[in-house]
Amino acid sequence: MKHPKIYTAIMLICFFGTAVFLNLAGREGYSEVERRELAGFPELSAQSYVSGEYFRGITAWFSDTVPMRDKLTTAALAAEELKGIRLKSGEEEISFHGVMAVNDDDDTGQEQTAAVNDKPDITAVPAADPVSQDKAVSDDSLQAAEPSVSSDTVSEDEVPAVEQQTASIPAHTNSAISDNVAAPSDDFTSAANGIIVTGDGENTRAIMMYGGSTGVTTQYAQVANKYKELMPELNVYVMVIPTSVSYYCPQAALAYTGSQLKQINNVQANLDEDVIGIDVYTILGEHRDEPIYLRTDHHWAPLGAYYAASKLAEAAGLDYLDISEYDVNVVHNYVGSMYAYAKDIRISSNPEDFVYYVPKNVELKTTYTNYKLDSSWNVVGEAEPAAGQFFIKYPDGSGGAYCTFMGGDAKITRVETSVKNGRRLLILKDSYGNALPAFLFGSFEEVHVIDSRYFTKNIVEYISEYQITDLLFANNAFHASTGATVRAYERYLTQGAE
Amino acid sequence: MLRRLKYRLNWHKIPVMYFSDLIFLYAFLPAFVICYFVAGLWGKKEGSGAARNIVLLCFSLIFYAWGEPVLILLLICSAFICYICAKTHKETAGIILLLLSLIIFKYGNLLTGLTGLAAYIPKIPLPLGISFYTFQGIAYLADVKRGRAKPQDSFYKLLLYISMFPQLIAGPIVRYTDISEDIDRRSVSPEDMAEGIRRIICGLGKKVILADHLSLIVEESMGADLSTLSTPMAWLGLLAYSLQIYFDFSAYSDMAIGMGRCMGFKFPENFDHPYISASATEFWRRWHMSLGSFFRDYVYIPLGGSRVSRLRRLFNIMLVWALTGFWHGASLNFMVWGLYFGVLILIEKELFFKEKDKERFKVLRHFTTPVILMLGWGIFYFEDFSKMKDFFDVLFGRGGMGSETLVMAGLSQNVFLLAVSLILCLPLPKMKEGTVTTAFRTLYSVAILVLAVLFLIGSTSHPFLYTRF
Repeated sequence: MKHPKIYTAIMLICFFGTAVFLNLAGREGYSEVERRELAGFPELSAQSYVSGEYFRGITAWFSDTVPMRDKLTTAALAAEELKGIRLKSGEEEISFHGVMAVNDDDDTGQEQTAAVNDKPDITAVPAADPVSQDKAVSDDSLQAAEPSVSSDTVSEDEVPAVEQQTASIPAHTNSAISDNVAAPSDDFTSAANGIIVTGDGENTRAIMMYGGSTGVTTQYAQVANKYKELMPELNVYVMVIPTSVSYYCPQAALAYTGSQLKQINNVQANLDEDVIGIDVYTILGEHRDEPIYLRTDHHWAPLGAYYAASKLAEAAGLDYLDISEYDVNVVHNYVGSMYAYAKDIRISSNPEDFVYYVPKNVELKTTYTNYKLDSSWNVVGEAEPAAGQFFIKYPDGSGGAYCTFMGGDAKITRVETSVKNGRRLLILKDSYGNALPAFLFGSFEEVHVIDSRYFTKNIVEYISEYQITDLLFANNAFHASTGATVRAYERYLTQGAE
Repeated sequence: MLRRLKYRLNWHKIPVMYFSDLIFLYAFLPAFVICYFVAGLWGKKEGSGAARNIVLLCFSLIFYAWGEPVLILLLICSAFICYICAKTHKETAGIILLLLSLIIFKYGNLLTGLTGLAAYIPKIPLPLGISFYTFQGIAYLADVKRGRAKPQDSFYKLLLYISMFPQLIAGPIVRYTDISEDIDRRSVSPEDMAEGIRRIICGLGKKVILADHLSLIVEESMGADLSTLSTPMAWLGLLAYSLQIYFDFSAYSDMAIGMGRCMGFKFPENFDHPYISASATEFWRRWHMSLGSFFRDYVYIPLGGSRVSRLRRLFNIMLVWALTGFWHGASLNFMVWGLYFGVLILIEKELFFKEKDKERFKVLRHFTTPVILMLGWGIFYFEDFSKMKDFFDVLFGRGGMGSETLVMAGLSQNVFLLAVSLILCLPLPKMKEGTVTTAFRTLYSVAILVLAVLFLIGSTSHPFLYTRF
């Protein structure tokens, strides 16, 4: 090589420059993009030394907490685009990274495969290392997160599928919903972790593929029936909320997702006559051209919850506030969870507005009973009930904006409204349910919210203590087809009884 | 899909300090370079190279202890066995002891599993790089026995040979005779330094830019649900895996050779464009050359080589290839893979391409050989034979329901990655040395460094494939 000293000098300057930056610049502790606490420096002990854990921990800590991590990982994603070309012209040129074909008829009782929706919202949880974050997905859904589940794994305490019953569909609301929503045929180009990304610019949308089965959704309906049997006085409603895959999945990707409609209909078909199924599938489909789902997050948008809540109010025979009776609040430049899950630069480069609605003329008295969680997100304690705000304002650009409602999941929420009609609603929900109460404050005297992952009391006692009149099961289609949800609801009936 | 996400988040599964870890590249290596440089200055003043060797030995032991904080004792014991047995001329006993330790630690679990003793004997951990350092010890003892090398008088120098960090955990397998003089006396010219650095950077690029991204294609194909895999996607995955394993492994050798050169050691070359081979025999002259030559010199030739009866030669060849396969891992598929090559080489040697027919069908064979090699990697990949069968079923047309659209997207989204990888498998014409060439090298070296550090930050390190062999 000619001029070897010059070459060596330049390379050493680059090398030591990077080394100085990585070693001496301030290390990061939290990743906005990935929504997680970064690895901590490990503790030295005889055991951690012998097992090698200590050194592995240092290695992980060093690479996890590099200075400017979020900026650099974003730059890395941009650089990944150099690998090739994203084809966009026509359906034969489409990719499904990390997405497998789903056989909808193969109802072997398996659980829903994708557990992204199980991730608790970040602001509500304590600092957790990456490992325990994964555990935060309740243990059953951890099993569900294994890719192998998609075809052959049945979690051991899962009972075999029950044949879909068609005989006893009650006349009122529990009839089968027809699919009047045609899936669009947009092109989509890429995905990872079971997510596809479709559209471009302001239409970029990340969609989680679905794989639920009638085995679990039948049990989901049955557990609602059980609540009604035990508490015949209670009005019981079941609202299975479709996710964006039901409305925005491109034609060519349909083979890779299960039908949520089929599972929603299965729930409807298995509900007893006196349990009321709320069809939100149809009304959401009618409004699919409005921003009813977040494009960059795995949640729906509050507007979608508005339409769903209106159906509940109708079914409960109550008035509800029209959307015009709400103040509109916007968190601009919102990039939701799908960026971290899909690791696709197009999601972060096309942020959206997170729009939420605060009722104008309703007085709220919100009381929270917060759960204390350990680093594995198990409930380890419970705080005294304390007054708080139902709506929490997030600044523009905040990725945690979906926690606007109640600040997250790990709590019991009781909201007393200015309505005086003696109707008290309890919502048993996952994070999709967080967006609902805001639209029911004009309909019910009290709204209680309990998350299906965190509740340690006895539900029958709770319902009688607060004189609940209406009970809503509000779960997204992923959670309604996850055995852990069903088992939690069953447990609530018996746990903590005095 | 989610498995990958989980893997990335699961720090417990991240192995030790690899060359492609940020902590190695930007904490360990700079610290080493500074200490080594200072020791060099000090040594110059004192007129001795001992200080540099001590720094190198200390860093090598730290490097190994990072991954094997306890089993580093086994490494030191192995070196000590080599030292004592060579000094006392009990080389054969030493070789037997080393082989025993290899059998126990590498194949113990397989043996107890096959014999049903697993229930009584606790699981034995596989020490990092044991196949590499044991073979180096055996080579040393064999060379001493045959009088090719003098026994090393200093234990720490022998330990340095066995444990030197650049080649410790993934080769190349360095013979003692290659570097025995370098340990005592070595010099580094500015040319050596620059070429060494360039080699390290090329290795880093191969690993982080090519191999790690090729592995994503492999995961989507061979690592995915085989029941939904389509035939074209299976071939794409197999191609990606063939490229990945080459770039991954040769990257490690490049980095080792480059680091050695920067310090004045001349490690043997380990790869010479293996995929341009026109036969399996040629492939093994170009692939993992230090392993092939080890088996040739220390197993095949001592067994009589080719100067024995035809039947005996056949046996020798199959034995060597079964051992070669088995060296790669304590799983039967590796042995099948080795025997696959044994059979191929036998066919080539005995039936088709005798010395005089060397050129026959050569152009055609340049196309068929890579396919034969790829099929071999299919055997190499699957430790589970039923999965292997499923995969080969898909490969030969009994595919799952997966659509062809996947393969189009897989191709297009990785078109540059695959193109660059394929081109780099070919021997490229040497550039004429000059200022322009150096400028060009400087540019691409800086580009590789920047991209590599970005990708390393962007994803948790994919461990080198070869280090557990």
